[in-house]
Amino acid sequence: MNTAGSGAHVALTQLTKSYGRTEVLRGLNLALGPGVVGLLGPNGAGKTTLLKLLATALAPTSGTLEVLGRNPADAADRLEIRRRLGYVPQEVGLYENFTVYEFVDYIAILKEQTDRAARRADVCRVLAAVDLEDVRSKKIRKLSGGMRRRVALAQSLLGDPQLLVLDEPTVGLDPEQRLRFRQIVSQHAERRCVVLSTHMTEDVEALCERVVVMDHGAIIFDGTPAGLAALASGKVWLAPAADPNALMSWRTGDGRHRNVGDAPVGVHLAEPTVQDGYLVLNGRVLAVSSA
Amino acid sequence: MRRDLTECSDTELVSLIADEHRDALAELYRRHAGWVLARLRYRCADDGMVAEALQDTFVAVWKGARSYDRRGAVGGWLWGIAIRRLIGLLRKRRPIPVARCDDDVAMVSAEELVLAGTEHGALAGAMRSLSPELRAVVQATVLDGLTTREASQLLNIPTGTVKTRMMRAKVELRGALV
Amino acid sequence: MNAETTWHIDSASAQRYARHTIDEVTAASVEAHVSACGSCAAAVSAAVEETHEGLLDNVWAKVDELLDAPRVGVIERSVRSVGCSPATARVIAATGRAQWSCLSAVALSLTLAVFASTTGDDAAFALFLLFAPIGPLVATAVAFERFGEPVESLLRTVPTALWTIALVRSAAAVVPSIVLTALSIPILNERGWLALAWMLPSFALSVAALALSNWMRPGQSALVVTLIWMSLPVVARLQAETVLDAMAGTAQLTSIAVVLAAGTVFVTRRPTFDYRGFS
Repeated sequence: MNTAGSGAHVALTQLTKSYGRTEVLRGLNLALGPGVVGLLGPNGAGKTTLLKLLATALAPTSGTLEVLGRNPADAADRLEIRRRLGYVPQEVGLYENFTVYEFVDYIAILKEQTDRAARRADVCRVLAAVDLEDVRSKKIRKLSGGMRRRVALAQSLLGDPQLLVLDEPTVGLDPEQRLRFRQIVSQHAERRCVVLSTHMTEDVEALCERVVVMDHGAIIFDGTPAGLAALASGKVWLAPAADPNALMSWRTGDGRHRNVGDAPVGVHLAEPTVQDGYLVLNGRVLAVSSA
Repeated sequence: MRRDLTECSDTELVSLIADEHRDALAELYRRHAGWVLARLRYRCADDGMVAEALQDTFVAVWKGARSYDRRGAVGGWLWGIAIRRLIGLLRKRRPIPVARCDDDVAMVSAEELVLAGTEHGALAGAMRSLSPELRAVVQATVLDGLTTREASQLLNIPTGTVKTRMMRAKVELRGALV
Repeated sequence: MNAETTWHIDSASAQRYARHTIDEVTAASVEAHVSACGSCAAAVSAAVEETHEGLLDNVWAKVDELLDAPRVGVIERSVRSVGCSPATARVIAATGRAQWSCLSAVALSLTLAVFASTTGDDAAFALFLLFAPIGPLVATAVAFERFGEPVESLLRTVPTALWTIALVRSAAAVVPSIVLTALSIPILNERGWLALAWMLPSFALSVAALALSNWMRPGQSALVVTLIWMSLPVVARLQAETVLDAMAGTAQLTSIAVVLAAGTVFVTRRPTFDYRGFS
């Protein structure tokens, strides 16, 4: 479990970000160390903004932010952070006319890899990691969405960064690609910190040692995936039909209905998943905010 | 959708190469670069030049895969590229003898192609009876499919000599096959 | 004619061929066969690889490298020829088509300059002088919007400062216009130097847009600057002079002032250029 302290890769204290009068992040407190951290939450929760702050693409409005032990507000520190950073933005923007190799090579140049031989080796390494070596001479505009995501992922791995910030990296990937992505990330995360935001609780379950749930700019859960799932223990049951009192219910593959919420007495309880825990958490949050 | 490239035919590989798949080029290289290299070395003793010709060949394959017309085997197409690259490199070293314009037409007729198709047979034995310089000309024009000018470049003899030797070789071969 | 020959190369022959210990005639047979038969070709290649592995690997490495080498276009080559580092040249070239739109905007302005200087019509000339400076500015803005969101958010996180990229791109837009203008001086007649009166304002507009992009997106800053520039006829009327006189006098002086002021702003705000408060 990641702990706070000066050894942390990322440390936030009362971090706030506002656009005009809209507060997008409210007083966040968080400390992250090595390993994979999943950021869960609905659209508008502030995940993308938080990730941009971590990637030094944005400045906070107030509070303190420490990335890799340095302060991004200081120009020299910011440069050092960026030298050890890899970032995949939510909207993958690429130069259409470049080939895969040319684009990743270009980003490598921007990452100050001036030695040609070393740069070539690094570009080939990251292309191999995301399995794009075969198509590296293809122009980007000829690639599918999943391949473009992999190009974006490849550039983030250049220079073996200590902090990897990934904004919804598995959108548009098919199951095989998502599996491969998990392999790449867990390999990379061994001594490094990876923060990724996702809508898919399966990604969190499979990949993250820690999960942070956000809603409306605040952190509503910070713990392990098992801990999140445990929030739903005793609250998930299977029944022949959807229970109208359940928070949510849906039909499963075997014809029964999975219900999440306050379980009636005597039902057949099911093992809760991260998704169930997430639903319960949100249900509670919704209940609180509507009160 | 990963295909096992080792199961693709040569023609399929070339299509994949035309579609910009680098792994397909690597597989084609694995299958063919060896014999192309060896065959070039039988024509030119300069290892550096042979390596350069081989390199140019596969770069040309990558760039020109779309121009492969599927007539004839991929091996023949590759060899055509390779031998012409080698001749180009040789040309840079030695000056071209002035020649007439029909020197650029391929010398080999259909009849001679038939002769070439007989691997182990009368031709082989007949070839044995030719003198080395006649054999070299037959090899260049029949086996390698070169024009007079190209053969003269490769063998470093005037084009006139290539023609006279070829005529003598035909006479002797026909005599031997009868 | 046997297309499907039943004879294939045996491994002993393949080995001898690879090692140059084969007789000429069998060699000829091997060669004739290998062009047509894929499996024997692979077998011979394998035999050759045993004896020449190093050479084959070296050649492949070179082929690989040649095919990977990024394509260097005309713009990149010409930029490098004037002494730019390869990395900077790549940054300039990365705007691709936008650079050509910039160059064509400049070329168009110049053609109009030559044309305008040959007409006697003051009003047409004045109109030209008013619109010409906007050309390179729009081209620069387009160059930026091309790398505005989403590539921009990635470019904010790399060690190479966005500021440097912005400067390099704008210079790449403005410098050709200056060069082309200098080349056209001999063509212009005695209306001559006045036809160049758009040059300094265009430079000022570009620098102003750059400075303003500290606070707003490049597209927006270009728009703001353009609107302010378009107030020139109004200012001229207030000062009771013609647009041409204003261009010759006020506009030139103001441009110098703007270049100095905006340039200072742009340079001094370098540390925060890429760390601004908006998304």
